[in-house]
Amino acid sequence: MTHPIRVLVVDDEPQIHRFLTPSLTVSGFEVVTAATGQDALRQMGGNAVAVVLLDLGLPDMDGKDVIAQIRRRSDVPIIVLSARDREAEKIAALDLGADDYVNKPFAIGELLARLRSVLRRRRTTSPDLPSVYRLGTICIDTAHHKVTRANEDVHLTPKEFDLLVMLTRHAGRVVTHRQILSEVWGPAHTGDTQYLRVFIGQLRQKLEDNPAEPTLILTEPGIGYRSVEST
Amino acid sequence: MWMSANRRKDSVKIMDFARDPHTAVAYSAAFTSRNDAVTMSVDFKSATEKAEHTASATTPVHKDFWAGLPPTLVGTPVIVAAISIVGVATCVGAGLSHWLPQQSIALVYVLAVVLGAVGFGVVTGLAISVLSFLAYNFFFIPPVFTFTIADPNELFALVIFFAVALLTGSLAGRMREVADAATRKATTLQGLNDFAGTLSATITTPAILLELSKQAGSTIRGEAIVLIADADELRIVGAGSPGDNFNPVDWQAARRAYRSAQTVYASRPGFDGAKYEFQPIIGRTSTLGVVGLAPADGRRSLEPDDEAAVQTILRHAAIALDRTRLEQETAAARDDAERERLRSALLSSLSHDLRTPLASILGAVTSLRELGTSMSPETRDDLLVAIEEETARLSRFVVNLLDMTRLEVHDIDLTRDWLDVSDIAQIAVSRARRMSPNASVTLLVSAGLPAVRGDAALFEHVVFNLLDNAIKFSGAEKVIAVAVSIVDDDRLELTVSDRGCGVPKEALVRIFETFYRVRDTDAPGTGLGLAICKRIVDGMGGTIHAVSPVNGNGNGGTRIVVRLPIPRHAKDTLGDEEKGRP
Repeated sequence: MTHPIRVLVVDDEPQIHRFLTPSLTVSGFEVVTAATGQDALRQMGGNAVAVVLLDLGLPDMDGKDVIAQIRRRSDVPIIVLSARDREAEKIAALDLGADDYVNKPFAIGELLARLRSVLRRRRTTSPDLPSVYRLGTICIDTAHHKVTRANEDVHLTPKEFDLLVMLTRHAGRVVTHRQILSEVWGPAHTGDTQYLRVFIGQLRQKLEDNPAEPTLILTEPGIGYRSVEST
Repeated sequence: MWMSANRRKDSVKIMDFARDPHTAVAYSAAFTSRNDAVTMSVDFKSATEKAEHTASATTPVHKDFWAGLPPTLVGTPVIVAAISIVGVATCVGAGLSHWLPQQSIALVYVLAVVLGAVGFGVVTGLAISVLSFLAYNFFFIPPVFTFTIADPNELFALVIFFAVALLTGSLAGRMREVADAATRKATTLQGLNDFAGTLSATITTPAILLELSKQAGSTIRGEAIVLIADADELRIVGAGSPGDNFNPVDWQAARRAYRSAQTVYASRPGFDGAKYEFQPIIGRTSTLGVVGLAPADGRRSLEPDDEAAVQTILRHAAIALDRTRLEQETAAARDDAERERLRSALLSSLSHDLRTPLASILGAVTSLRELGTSMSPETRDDLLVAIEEETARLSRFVVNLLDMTRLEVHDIDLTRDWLDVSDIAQIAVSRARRMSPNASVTLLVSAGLPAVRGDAALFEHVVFNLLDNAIKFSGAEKVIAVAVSIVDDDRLELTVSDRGCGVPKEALVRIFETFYRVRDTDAPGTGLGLAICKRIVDGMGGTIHAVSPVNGNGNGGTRIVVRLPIPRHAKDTLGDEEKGRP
């Protein structure tokens, strides 16, 4: 990579920067750091930041406000660093426009994988959506409304099809229950998570090798779902 | 001549004079008591005219008139008072008879009737009327010293006199009784008013119960005992010496009043000799208890007015008791909320303070494993140092938490052992120097310090915690001074002073509270350290406080002062074998 990708790390704990900075640097990123929300917004203004790593517990302002303010000006990928037990916080962050989250504490490999994932998606995301998606051995042809699994036709209801397309379009990235319900069923249905669970179960029955241990559509407990990225 | 005090008979004949062959007029007089009136009637029979005349006066009496009156009032004193008054009137009449015509003497008796009735009530008034009638006839109407009346005109005057005497006697007596009742009502009302005022200012349940028993007792002019329900069982509270008076019958009646929430007239006839009658105290949602009421001077039931007043008192008391109960419930709910707040503060503090070092350690370790080969030796070394530091931080936090738990769960005795404070300060200072090599920690110990009572391991923890705090909050210039000396001849003082930013005045006390942290502080911490120190020092019988700025020093600084009591027999320096555990 000729131009290092600039990543803004926002965390008030110096010890986090202490290992993130060298690790990201040797992984080919250029690291800028911020310890407060205000500092982060300032850095966003001055630098061409390609991705933001944001801890939600900041001393001066709510991390969610930082997301909202960044989103007003930019669609830069944002990965939230948050505690495992803060589901509500993570859902709110994702609904506000964060792209993904990583539970603290995390292994560096997991963080780098997420970073690469959001960056790859940004590069491939173009105004013209592709007409064919792949999910493992599943091929989804949106133009012809056709799904095949290992070259065999799979019959899906229209809603199952929409749900599958929605998840695959965000492959590798977590989508919240609310986001799925709002997009597939409409804004009036954002509370019907039980409904969604049933449809996910049906999709898994039709698409997964072993529906009890899904490998294509993964559950993010308490948050939503994530479909795997085709490599 | 007699008068019966037996109020159970419907009719009482006062006198019945047998017909005297020489008597021109015979008469008999009788009291008749019906449900709500007393009638006094006198029948005259004139032998010559064969005519019958009946003069009677009826006075309405309160339904429980007889029951309400103490027996003494309808007994001897009435007749004694009546005889005395009529006697005086007769003497006065006799004295005046030389100057006044005989008919005017009757007015003296009328005056006696009015005065007697006003002074002693209806019954006395009526008795005086009858006695006056007889005395006037006997002493003044010719032929004197007989009950016979010679002149029929005199008979007419006598009848008129008797009617007037009866009417004025009963009217004046009624007036007197109404006035008495009004006074009693006013007193009761004033008492109720005072009671309501006292209750509204009373906030504790025992105080309300005490007021209740006092007020109920004074209202019924007798004894009132309050029994409060405690876990569905009655318990005697309040004044008096109820142990002497309460018998099983009373207990039984009290429980019945409590369970049925109705008055049990246990002291009335038909019960097994209970001393009290019991009225329930009925609260908003349940019966709160009962009040046992025993009127003084042997009466076995309450007057209706008093009973009504007692009902009012009980209602007031029930409201007050409900109020205090609600207040207690509110306070308990507040305490619960506070505990809940503390618990969530603990959880959030725990999650942050455990997770941050863990995140650093896991991040650094995985970085080293996955990316170590691409890193410079210096970077690798720094990550290793970070791991070491964070592990220490985590360990300190865990130790703190365990200490706190130990102190909260077990009420351990912290004054069992002897300890040498200077020795322990030395150990803690050495440890702090090892942990923070860039800090300058000095230790100044006075010579010949006595031993104190305490737990050596925990006290070392206190001193180290104070040093750790001082180093954390002293900014770039980490100059820390520890001093141990004797103050006021009876206390050992250990101080840890820094030259940091200091503690705001309003936070000087609060920094020892659990989870309290000074705002705007950027140093890491849990708000547990000083709270634990205080807990330990308290347990050793000592005190801990903060001073900031130090010595009026403009540069701020904080000094934590720990003082421990020196046991009287430990003024000598320690022998080696008595030294605290290292």
